[in-house]
Amino acid sequence: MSDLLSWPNGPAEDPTTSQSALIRAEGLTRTYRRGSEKVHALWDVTLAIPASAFAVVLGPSGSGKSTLLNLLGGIDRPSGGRLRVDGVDLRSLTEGQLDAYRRDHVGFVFQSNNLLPNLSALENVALPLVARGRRWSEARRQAVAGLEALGLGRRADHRPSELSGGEQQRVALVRAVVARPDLVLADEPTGDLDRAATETVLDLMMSLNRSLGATFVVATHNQRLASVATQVVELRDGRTSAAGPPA
Amino acid sequence: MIHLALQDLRRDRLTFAFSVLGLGVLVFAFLLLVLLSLAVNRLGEAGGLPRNLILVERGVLQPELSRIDPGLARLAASILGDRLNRIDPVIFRILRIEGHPIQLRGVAVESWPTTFRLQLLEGDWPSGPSQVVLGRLTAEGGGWGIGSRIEVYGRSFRVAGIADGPGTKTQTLWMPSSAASELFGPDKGPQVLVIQLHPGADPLTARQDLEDGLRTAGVDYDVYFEDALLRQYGAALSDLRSLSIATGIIAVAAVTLGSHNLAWLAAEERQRALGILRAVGFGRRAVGLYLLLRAALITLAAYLLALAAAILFLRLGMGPNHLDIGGSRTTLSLSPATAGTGLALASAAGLFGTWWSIRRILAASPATLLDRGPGSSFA
Repeated sequence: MSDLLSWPNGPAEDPTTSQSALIRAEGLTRTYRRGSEKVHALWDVTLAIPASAFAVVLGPSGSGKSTLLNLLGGIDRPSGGRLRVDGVDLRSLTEGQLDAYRRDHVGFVFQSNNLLPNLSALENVALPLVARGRRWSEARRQAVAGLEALGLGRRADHRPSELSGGEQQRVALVRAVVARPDLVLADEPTGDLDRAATETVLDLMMSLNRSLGATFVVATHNQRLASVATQVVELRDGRTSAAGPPA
Repeated sequence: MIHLALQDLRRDRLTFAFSVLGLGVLVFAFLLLVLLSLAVNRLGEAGGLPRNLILVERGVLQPELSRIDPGLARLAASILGDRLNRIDPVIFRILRIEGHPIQLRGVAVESWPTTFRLQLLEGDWPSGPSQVVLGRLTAEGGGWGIGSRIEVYGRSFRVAGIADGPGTKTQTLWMPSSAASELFGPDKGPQVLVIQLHPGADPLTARQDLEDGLRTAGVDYDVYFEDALLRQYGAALSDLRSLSIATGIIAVAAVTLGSHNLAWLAAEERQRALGILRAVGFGRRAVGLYLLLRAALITLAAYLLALAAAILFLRLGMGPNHLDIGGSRTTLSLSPATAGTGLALASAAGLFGTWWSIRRILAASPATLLDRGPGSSFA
């Protein structure tokens, strides 16, 4: 952990002022059709998340948490409203620009099956670096450092099927931060983990948030996270019921 | 991306092996069909097709009684035009030599292996006017061999060689045309004209045109195919050539479809993995390249397997490695050029089939690939 904490800090900004917001959404909607029915997965969502914040998105299943993270990460497109990340309007980006946005600015952790099954932990972690144009040999060196920082050095050559659920999520976390993104999106990262592994992964995320200065947006049911978050967004039926610093 | 494709195949060896095996069988079939098609083509070009027409005087039942007008060859040539390859006047007699009924054929020696498709079994072709070649049946029937002497019309000839031709059922003696002309005198001249058509010419049309042209010119000659049996062989050969080309094309289509199915299965199985690749920043082009490289490696491995199998099949006699049609034989052989063309065609078919199947996957959003989309169609 000491190696991890020695990673250089990111930009320090006041997370409570919307002036320095990294993410700003206004009237954000995501609508889709289910047969003849029109379903609003997100409706008129307005929020601002400051840079370097540790934001938690709370809400029951089906409330739109994953949809919101999809839009923030550029793996899906809004149907309406405005969505700016670091001043860039994501709705105006082409497919190629969205690829570049994800590659250069975003790290993802999903609930499960985060890793490519035919690659080792090390190769999985190296993927974002290779996507950025690094050679495999160079990417592997950096990936080893990342894995060792999170205590996974001995598991580097193991394939996902040889790792426990907690280890897989930690590998996914290293992969999400290895290329030093501005924004880390984690969708129910502890949903499939036992209590001990959940605590480990949550502690790691908070440590990484502090040491790297990256903005974390975590969708979760875990109320404990809400108490330590710098920003809480509550969603209900696709709408924001609350957004801002924790009460 | 090549690293990713290699690791993917290396760590999923069973799928890789079955993919290579499945595609390899199709490529093997494709290679053999190409070889068959080439062999049939060679056979056609080498004279396997019935390209010989025979002109005899109309109403003459026995060819030795026929007479050929001196200007007939030129007239036939003008009617056939560029469909004509060669015309040979033949001095034809039926003789009894030492009690054996023998057909004597006096023809220019250079036409024996080409127009008449004689294959030398022993000895040599005649090197002078006093040498002849016997048909196999003649040599067997009369007990003659190389160096034996035969008397024809009081003149002695040395047997220089023993030969056989397609579909020969009679005892024959082949004599250089100059020697035959000298032996029988100039009065009767040749009895038959044998016309060899160009390989690309349609024999049926050529025969009809020749009959019509001769009738128009007012000369009375009948036109026959050299041998009705050979004509059937020729038709079969022509059909076989068309069929082998068609089945070769079907084999290429099968390789394309096989690659399509393999790539489709691979892409469907890896949908989430592809979604993760897109999520971590690989673009559509990079993901497409990864799938194409993976398919290219499978196609290459399948091709090498099929090539090895084809070589074993042909060289080690594990299967029939030649083609006999109408008494003509051609060997199925795999040249470097054919192997290279096969690789190019198999690769093109494999990559096209793969590209065809992965278009939908490449067009999908990362969210859809990750099965995170809120629905199947978005407003």
